[in-house]
Amino acid sequence: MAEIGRERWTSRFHFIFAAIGSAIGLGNVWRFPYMSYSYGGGAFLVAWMIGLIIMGVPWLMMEFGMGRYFQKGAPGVFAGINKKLEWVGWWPVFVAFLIVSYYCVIMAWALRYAVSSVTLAWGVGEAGAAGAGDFFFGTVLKLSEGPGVLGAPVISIVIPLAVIWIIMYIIMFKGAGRIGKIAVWTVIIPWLLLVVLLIRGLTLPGAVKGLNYYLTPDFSMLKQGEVWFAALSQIAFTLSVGMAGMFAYGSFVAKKADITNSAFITSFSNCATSFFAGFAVFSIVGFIMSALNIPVGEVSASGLGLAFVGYPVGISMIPVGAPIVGVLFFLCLFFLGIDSAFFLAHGGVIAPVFDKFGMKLKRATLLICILGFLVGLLFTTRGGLYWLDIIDRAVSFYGLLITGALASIFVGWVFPAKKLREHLNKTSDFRVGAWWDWMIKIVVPAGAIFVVIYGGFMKDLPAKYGGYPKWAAAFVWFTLIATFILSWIFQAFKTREAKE
Amino acid sequence: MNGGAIVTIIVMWAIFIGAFIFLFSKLGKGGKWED
Repeated sequence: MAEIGRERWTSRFHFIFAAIGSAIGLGNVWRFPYMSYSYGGGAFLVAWMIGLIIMGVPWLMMEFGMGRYFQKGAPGVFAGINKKLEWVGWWPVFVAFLIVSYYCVIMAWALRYAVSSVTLAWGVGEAGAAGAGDFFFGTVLKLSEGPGVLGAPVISIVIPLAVIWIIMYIIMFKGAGRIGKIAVWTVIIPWLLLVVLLIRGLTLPGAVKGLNYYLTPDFSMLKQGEVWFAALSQIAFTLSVGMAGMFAYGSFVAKKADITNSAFITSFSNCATSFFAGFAVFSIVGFIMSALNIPVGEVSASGLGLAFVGYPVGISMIPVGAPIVGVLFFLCLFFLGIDSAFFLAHGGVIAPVFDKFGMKLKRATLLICILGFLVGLLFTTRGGLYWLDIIDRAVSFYGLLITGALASIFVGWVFPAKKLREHLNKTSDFRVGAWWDWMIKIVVPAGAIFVVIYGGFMKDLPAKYGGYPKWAAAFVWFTLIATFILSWIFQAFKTREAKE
Repeated sequence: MNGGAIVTIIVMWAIFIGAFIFLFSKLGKGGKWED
């Protein structure tokens, strides 16, 4: 295949930071610590580390490696294996596009909260703790009664959303060179902010109590399938695999440069950040328990609830420096999110569009930024939170896992895995053995399908997802099918090479 | 802090630090960065 104007990382350092930045995201702060607490503390970490080695690292190596081999984004990789397989690469492109369209809205909430933190707009002391939920759902989101009532976009969210997409465009329009340089800062800044938040958290009364909940091992839980489901799902979601972008990030690597060591460094850096973030989060959880005299189960300690309700409750109770902690926490969320967002947009969507249609990078970037902003407007409406939840279930859960399983199967059995391993071993810092082939052929797809069935179908098929009305819950399946059909349509378009 | 939590902290950081020492010791021993 031709390599017309292929982007390149300016150094290995920049590539690794860009990959780490894409992997580290909001989930490291709001998902991982809660999973550890819920599934046996130290015992969960055992399952999580096993999942990292047998599933996470091989999967990331595969995506980097295939991108590097074909010097293309995801669709170009699968078209390279067999022209009829190009859709396997397009499906995660649509997954990535939808994810980034709502991910930027969450970052817009974080910017809105960074400003609100200056005055602790949700209240101070116990009044603030009681009012944090109403502030988020009522004042910020102006949440309607259900997904059927959309209302107009909320301007106080639309403005930061527009700012974020402008920043994204400025970062992305020059390609991988600029992305790598910016990523160094968007990785280091949240690391420093997490250190500051941890120090403040540990100096608060009750912090140790929270850390005991986070870390105390309960090894009896390893006998439960639920723990292994949680560990594998956390690994699948945390490394930003299954979203097309890592193929493109690998394609920006020179043909004879290392892949294996970079994949290991990226994976371990991401997981070390998750583990570290857990201390910052659960020290505050312990403080909230102590300050309000409530059990851990009553503290919002995961997901959007942690970020926009639980943490603000803690902030309002902090006796000294509360506004500073608030501003730093929400800026930390913003910086954690921004490099994942430009990874999704550039690696996941823009690079494949550039490869296929030969559009100028600047123009493709502008087009995707405008489309991403327009689609994101849906999630800024009064019913936007419901739609964010529904679309997130469709693409970030089902889409990511199903497309990831398909990619592993086709690479593992058709390309096949042995050929890729031998290719990587020739240029990488250290060699991997034949065990890796079986991880790609069997373990990654089986792990992803296990999570889809155990955590998805078994819950969503008997009962409507999220308790939404039937028509709204059906959008989970509609979105999944629509992106699948779109991937076939995009496969049918002629490539720029064919046109030339 | 209870003993189980302390052991978890020590073991996890030992794993991470050990992994980074190994990975960074191998850095640059494979292919060339430039085409």
